[in-house]
Amino acid sequence: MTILIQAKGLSKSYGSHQVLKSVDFSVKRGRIVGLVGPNGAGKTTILKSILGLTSYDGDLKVLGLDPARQRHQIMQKVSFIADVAVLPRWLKVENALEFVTDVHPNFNLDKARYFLSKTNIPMQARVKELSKGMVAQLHLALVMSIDAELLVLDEPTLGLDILYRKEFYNQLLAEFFDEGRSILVTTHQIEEIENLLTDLIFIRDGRIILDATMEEVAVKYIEVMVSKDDAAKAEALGPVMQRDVFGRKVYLFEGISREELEPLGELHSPSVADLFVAKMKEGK
Amino acid sequence: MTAIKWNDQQPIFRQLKEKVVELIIDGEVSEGEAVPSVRQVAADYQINPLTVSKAYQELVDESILEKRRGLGMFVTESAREKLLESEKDQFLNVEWPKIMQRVERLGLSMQQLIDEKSTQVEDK
Amino acid sequence: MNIASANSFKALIKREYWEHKGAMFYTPAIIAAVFAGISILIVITGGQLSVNGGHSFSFMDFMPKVLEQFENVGDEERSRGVQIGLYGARILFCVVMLVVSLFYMLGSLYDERKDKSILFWKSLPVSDTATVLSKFVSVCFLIPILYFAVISVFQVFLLLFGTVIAWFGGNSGITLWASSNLFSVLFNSLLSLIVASLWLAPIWSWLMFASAWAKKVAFLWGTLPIFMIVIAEGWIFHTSHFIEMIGDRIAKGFIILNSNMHYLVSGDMFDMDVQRWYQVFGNIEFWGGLIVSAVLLAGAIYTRRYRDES
Repeated sequence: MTILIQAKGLSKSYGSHQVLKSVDFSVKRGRIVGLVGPNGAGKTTILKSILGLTSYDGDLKVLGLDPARQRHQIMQKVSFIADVAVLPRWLKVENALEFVTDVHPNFNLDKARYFLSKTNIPMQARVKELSKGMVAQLHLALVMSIDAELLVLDEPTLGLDILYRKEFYNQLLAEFFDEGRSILVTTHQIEEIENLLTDLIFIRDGRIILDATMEEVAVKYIEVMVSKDDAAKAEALGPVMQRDVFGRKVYLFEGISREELEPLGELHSPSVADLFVAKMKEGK
Repeated sequence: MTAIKWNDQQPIFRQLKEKVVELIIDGEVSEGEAVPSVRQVAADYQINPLTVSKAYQELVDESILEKRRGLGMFVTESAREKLLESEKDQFLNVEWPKIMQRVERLGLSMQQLIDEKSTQVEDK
Repeated sequence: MNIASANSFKALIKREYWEHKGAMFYTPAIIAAVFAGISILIVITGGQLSVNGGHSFSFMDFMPKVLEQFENVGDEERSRGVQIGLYGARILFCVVMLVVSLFYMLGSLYDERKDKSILFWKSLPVSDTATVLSKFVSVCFLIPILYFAVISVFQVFLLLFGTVIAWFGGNSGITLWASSNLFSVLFNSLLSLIVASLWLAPIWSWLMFASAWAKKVAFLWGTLPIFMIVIAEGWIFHTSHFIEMIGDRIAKGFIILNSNMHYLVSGDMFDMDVQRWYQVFGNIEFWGGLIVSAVLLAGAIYTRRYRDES
């Protein structure tokens, strides 16, 4: 099964407020997918639907299973971290290991011990005695020791300092990710992960406004830094966005080939953040 | 874990490729030695393993790296030579003409520059 | 149930213990330790107690007289006396256990939502059914068993304590143990604790159900609806069956807990159809209560499963 998540016409309303408006997307195996959008856009709702934590309308299949009905089976092969600090404060590290071992058929206790041995986390400590970063390390150690096909991360590095954040993704890449698994991640700190991603999904007001692989994005979206003389020529090609940098204009083009743009000036790839801003402004 | 500033003008896999080439030419990785695994590079530089794979694959296609089953990626025997050759090529055919153009544009004379340089060297 | 889910369930019970060790174990243990400590203190200080008006009362003078009486009284009388003493020592613990159980149930499905740890629990392949049932099993069995353990140790301590006092009175103290009927006391103690909890199952299940719903203060959610029903019933029907039913259930719960002692003290004086713990099983209210419990538990499970944590 190459497609791990398949959504067709996924919708969700809270009362009269429609949070997801008939969304289609899919996540293939071996990919790292970034889900980007402002607060309230529907990112969390999508994640909750995938994890069977909320009801929804439309068609959604995770690992071929139905999150509304087969949540228990899905949770054996899907791990998630909602916010690294949700471990119960009274839980002892040792007991956490014991619990997950007894409860999760795909948990590797030795691996977890190995990951923890590389940290300063004492086995006898309770979660409330650990710093936020250490709680993140503990949670990550547990998750990485689960042989999951899909890992869902909802703002996993929120509130962590830079060292722990870098280590978080470092560990994920070094010890967990491989071509058999996929990771779906939402974060506000998009710059941090843009080089990790294989796929990018933008969501705004419950609708997907971009869904492409990073390779497609590299070809489709090009920024050109243009001198004043060439400004008119550039504008004739129909840029989607422009901004000023040190008196020069930077235009963002969508779907115009490199050859056409090369004569106008220096070509750059837009950062995902800039691309996101551009897409958000579109149609406003 | 070193931080690399990737520029936004070239795709990352190409920049990574150039980095590896640099390492080989500078002798940091010798011929017959292994380069860091895809996983290692991805984790250290926080980029996607597929990106790293792509860079390595192109180097394999150009016979700079070779894959040894179960052992990893290794620098081929004649890699350094080949790379120096192609660097020389690049310099002579692309960069040197550009430099000469620039010298002319600035109104300088090549001969003048060389003479100045030799006297500098003699003074040392 | 296969081995995997048996392990899972065991793990869930362990979790309840780890999370509530304070209420489930340390609380009764500390109470026992305090009383034991006080007893020892009294004896060590020579047992001088000053009552109002400067009238002094010496424990050590008093004890030998009690012991003398003890020896001279008939076997059955003596046995009754000792057992009443042992059961009496239980009463406080039983009350504490019920209070602990109440708060435990109120927090059971609420605390995990309040501190967001439910997102961790839900990230593991543990069903809501198993989770809710593990908490129910904990309140009906785990807590009684733990309290039983502490009570028993305390009771044995009391017997030892009495033995030591007997030594001071020149007595071997063996009669104390012989007339204690200890194994019967322990057996009845354990079962009455468990059965009383099961008898109160509908109340536990109601509280758990309320805790699954509560948005802010679980206590309000647990009690307000009850008040509303009571008031509504009084208003509409001018009756008070609901509150009577609840009151009756709680009262009988207490009785079951201490039925052995009541029996020893006053024979079958309490003219109620639920007296000793084993009589519960023939009582239709008991089984009705379990059915109501099952319905409420199903409600709690459903709520936990489908409630949208926003």
